[in-house]
Amino acid sequence: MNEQPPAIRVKNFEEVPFGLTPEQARLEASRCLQCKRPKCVEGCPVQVQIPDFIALIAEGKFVEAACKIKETNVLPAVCGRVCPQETQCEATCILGRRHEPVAIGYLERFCADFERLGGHVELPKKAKPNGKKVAIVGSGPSGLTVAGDLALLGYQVTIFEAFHKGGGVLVYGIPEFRLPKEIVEKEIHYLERLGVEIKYNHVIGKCKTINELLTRDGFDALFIGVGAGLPRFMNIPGENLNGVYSANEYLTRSNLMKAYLFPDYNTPVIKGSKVIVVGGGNVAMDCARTALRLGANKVTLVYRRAREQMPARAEEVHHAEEEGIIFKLLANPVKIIGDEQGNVCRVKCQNYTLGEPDASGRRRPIPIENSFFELEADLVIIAIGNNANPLIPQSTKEIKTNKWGNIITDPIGRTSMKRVYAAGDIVTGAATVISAMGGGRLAAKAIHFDLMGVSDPMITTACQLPKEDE
Amino acid sequence: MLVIDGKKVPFVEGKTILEIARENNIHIPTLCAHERLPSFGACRLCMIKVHGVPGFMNACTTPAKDGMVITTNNLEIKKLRRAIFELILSEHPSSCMICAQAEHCDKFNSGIMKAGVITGCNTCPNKDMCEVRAIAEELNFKTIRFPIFYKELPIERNDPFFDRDYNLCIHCGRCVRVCQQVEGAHILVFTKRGHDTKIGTSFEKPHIETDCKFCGQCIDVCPTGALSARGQKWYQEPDDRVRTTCMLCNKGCRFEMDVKWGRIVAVRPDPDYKTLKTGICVKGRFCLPTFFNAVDRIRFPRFLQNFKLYPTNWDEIGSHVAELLEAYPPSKIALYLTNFLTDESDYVFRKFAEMMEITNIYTTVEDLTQIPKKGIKVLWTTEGLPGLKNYKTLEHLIFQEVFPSEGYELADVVLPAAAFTEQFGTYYTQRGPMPIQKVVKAPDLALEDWKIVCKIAQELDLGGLNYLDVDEIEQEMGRVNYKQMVRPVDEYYLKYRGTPIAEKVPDFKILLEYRKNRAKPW
Amino acid sequence: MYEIVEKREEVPNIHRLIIREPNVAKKAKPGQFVILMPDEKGERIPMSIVETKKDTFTIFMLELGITTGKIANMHAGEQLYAVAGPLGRPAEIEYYGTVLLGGGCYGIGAIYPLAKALKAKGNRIVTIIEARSKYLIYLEEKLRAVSDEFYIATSDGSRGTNGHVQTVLDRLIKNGHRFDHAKFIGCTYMMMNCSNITAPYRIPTRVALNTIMLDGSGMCGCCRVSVGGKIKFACVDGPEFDGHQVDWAELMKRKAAYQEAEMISYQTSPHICRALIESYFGESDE
Repeated sequence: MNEQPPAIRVKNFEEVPFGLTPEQARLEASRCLQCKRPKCVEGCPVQVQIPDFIALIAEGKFVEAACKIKETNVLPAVCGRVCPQETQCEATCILGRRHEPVAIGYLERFCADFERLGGHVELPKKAKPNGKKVAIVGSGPSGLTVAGDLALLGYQVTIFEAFHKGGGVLVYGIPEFRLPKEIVEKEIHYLERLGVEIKYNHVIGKCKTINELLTRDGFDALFIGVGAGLPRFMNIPGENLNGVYSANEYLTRSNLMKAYLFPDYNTPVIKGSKVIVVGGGNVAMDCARTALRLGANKVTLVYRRAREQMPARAEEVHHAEEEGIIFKLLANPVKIIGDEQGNVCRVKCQNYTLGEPDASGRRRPIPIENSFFELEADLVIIAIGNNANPLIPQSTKEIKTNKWGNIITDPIGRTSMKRVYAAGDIVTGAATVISAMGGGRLAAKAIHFDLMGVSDPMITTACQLPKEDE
Repeated sequence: MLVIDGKKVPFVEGKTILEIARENNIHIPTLCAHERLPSFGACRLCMIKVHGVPGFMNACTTPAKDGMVITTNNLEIKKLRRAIFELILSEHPSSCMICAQAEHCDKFNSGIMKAGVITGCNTCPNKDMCEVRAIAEELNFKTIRFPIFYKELPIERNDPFFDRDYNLCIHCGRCVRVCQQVEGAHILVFTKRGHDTKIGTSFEKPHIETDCKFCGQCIDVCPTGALSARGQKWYQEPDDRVRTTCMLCNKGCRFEMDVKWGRIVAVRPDPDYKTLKTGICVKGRFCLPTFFNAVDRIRFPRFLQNFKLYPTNWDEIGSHVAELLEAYPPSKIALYLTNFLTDESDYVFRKFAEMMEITNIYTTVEDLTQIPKKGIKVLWTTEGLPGLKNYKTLEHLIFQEVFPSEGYELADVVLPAAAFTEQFGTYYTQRGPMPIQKVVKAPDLALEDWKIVCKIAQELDLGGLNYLDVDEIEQEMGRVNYKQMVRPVDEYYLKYRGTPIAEKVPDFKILLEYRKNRAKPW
Repeated sequence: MYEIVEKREEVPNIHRLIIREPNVAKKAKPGQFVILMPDEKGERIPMSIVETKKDTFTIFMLELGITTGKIANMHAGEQLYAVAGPLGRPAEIEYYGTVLLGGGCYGIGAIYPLAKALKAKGNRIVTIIEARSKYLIYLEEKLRAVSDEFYIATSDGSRGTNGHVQTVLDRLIKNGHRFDHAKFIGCTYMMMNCSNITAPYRIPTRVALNTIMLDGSGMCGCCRVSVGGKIKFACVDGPEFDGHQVDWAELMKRKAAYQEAEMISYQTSPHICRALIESYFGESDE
């Protein structure tokens, strides 16, 4: 599939891959072996019926293919772009043992885009209203999934979102060039057409508490999908200098507040020319590639472990390398140095080496004594991960959290507070969009069981197919 | 010969004392005097003593006489000058100038507060360039003995392009003089009298209702922040000042442009050219920066795939265009050359057409009617054009423009062109051939029109079209005696290439809309 | 969308806005703030809540940049794009004895709810307000009504003492006034100067920091300040902090982070044109 040349794409915020043409899609889909025991489905966190939708693409039935995916994954246009298929479905693909695996991600993206750009698709049939109200806190991937599932089951769903736009990490965390926000808006609009009410600018824990929602406001159940939104800093000297950002702030300015369109959009972001990003995950990749696009001359990624241990998606690392991002591995900042005006100008780093494996199985990074070096920088982004935002647990003592602030749940999302459920990053710590959606799906099943006693619901997300004469 | 402060200076007939002093580097503080304007004697700061004459005289209005002995700065004059300045400041928001914390506050505070109403120097866009502050510093000003009076006049913001806050006005009268005696427009006058004197329009009409041309000369001469151009303030000192010729019509007015952050932030008449006297029009003075800084400039070459225009680099697009042009016979290819091409770009396009044996060269919208008659299949246009979708024979559109104007949605290939402020060249105007200077860099991959043609020519292996710079082209044009022409673009033409200026500049839209029933909008 | 019920420019640059948002009106406590966005392209800015009544709340907004400029050009009946709140921790309101309140600029409005609440707790209230000149003083009657002593200071001496809050404060202390608690709200420079005056007398001092903010609920770290050597977020740990522990020099520098961007913003000023469009054609194009 064609992509924007690296020298061009670092100057704009448009998507990098061009997307398959219909001919290319049918050709790729015909490579699928249609295995009797599909390994790809096992590799998918929400068990999308992959061979089924690929077969539909091969027949040229693109819209039907999108509907097929939506039976298990409400946001195929999103997942086709941000899922790490190379470690999920494509990793287990049988064809991948000897040849290239089927390009499942590109195919998912293709039919989702085809359906979306084609115009109006009929809504699936909703169950009759069952008189129950469910509140959802947070409009990120897990909240949107729960909302979609429950709305179809006949619940009256209200989402409370703290920001002025919905989507959570889809809209503030993932940059425009990886996930166009127009897609997120369409998905949210789809939910509104299903009858879901979204109240923006509601910071639950401040303008309303969970107790109030469950008692005064009459909600029968409440789902918490607030994500892991507490920035982690390194607590090294100089972190408060101008030009030092948490990844959350940098990405929120650029993606949600569209600072890349400054001054048309009024929110500014510091556009450094010598940028240092600390971290090795997808968030760090996003920050580094955004910095390039905002005009940086040199972007260096500083990560304390080695290349093999970087948690970022392989495709993102590959794109970042092509775009000219420098990887300074086995190094970590120890001090940030500023000038008289209080702006950052240098970062002092220490070299690391790898020692024995720790509890998670990864080799521990060990600092090498007296091995320091300095890098010039006018912008430093700390992208070393997030902790759980304490706002909800602080205002609701009945919800138990572990020592890191994550909400403790049973395997299908029930918290320690009656009628309150949770999933996504607030439970697991920072993870992926698709795993948040998987957790949300389970929580929706739990809610349906607890409120209506239905233990194996037929969740009908299959869309009505367009009529013959259209 | 005159003696000023003990220094002997030559006498020149017809000059005032101030002019002679200035020519001989003797400093006398002034606020209402201005080198371009006739003297007025309003502020009285230039008081001097002419020996043998009782009392004090204005240096700016008094003609020098041979043999005069003048003192500009004795103790009595200093006291008088202070008192005059205190009177001026007592009706000007001067708290910041006399505040005990002024220096300390400046050190700690993060720059000027961009307030709506100016209540002190720290909220004034003129702070770094203010002539009143300069005098305050010169006179070492710390206190005002007179009661402070804030006039509480409403801020006048209901005109396009510029704001007027007459609470800051010190009645120097420069704006009135430039409007009446240099521009000849007579829009600004002194209204009312005595303590209520206020500068403004007759009957206090907004400028848009008068015959104001929005030439901006009044803003240029105002010593305080009373008159300020809305989109051209708060940038403090510019990084660069470049002079070039305007290409928004064929008059060839000269501009001086302020550049900051890689953008054009302000435009004024070139001080060394006669357009300083005649003034420049509202399009150049106020609209130009906003227009060329608009966010939807075409920045990348693009090609059509899967119903979307994808960005790519010049090598890729070069081969796309070359393929297109080679696939059709020259009789089915047409070029549309906009009036806004520099002379060099126009010449290179025509030379290219000749080498490719393309004879269909269009320059007006009427020419487009030839398309169905000749069955044109490929149109390479340098300007957005109306009604292109009605031409059913057109199969391909190569769109070389500055903005995604009319016809963009039909393009197969998009080529980003540089604006006239982003390239070197020549433009033949009513004033003859005028030089075009590069003021700022073109955005991202945008290129001069002639460079684009050369790139395509390279892909097509055409020799003789690989110029390095405009000088080469100019020399060739001289050698072949190429006849330049004044383009038919008059000063009231409202577009640049295919884009209406009002589309990108809301204030201009308001001006045109409001004055649509007049014979001329300015 | 959130309706501006009433809007009036009290004194040059200070606008009083009454905005309809029932959640904020019901829950707001003195010292809390809201985050506002004038339109989709605007910034997110914090504003102190001054009063609440039924389903509306009042703010006093100082116009000092492009976003406050956009709001300043709106009028009653128009809608704000986003209002989120109430955010931040409420101010400490206890019985202390004699409380000194100092306010400058928008702080004159912001100390009013604190004065009212502290008075209701039985404190003796001494209020000092400062402005550049006498025509910039507002809310005087309401503040006098909740203060036992009331003083004014102006930079040009046109009213009251020639000087600032700290000039009056210094004089009062030297004349034998004793204070058990002090709260200051105003520009960072003013709060720093006042805290420096109360420090040698060990008067417990609280200041309401007005850092740059983005989300307002603790997820970005934009508003971080050093207080007593520790990093705190003004939006969830504050906005009220101990004035003697704040690292003022660092805070001043952090507030200047976007100076250049602020200047660039003004080069495209479509917000002013809305006012023009309406004044000529009677309705907005947008």
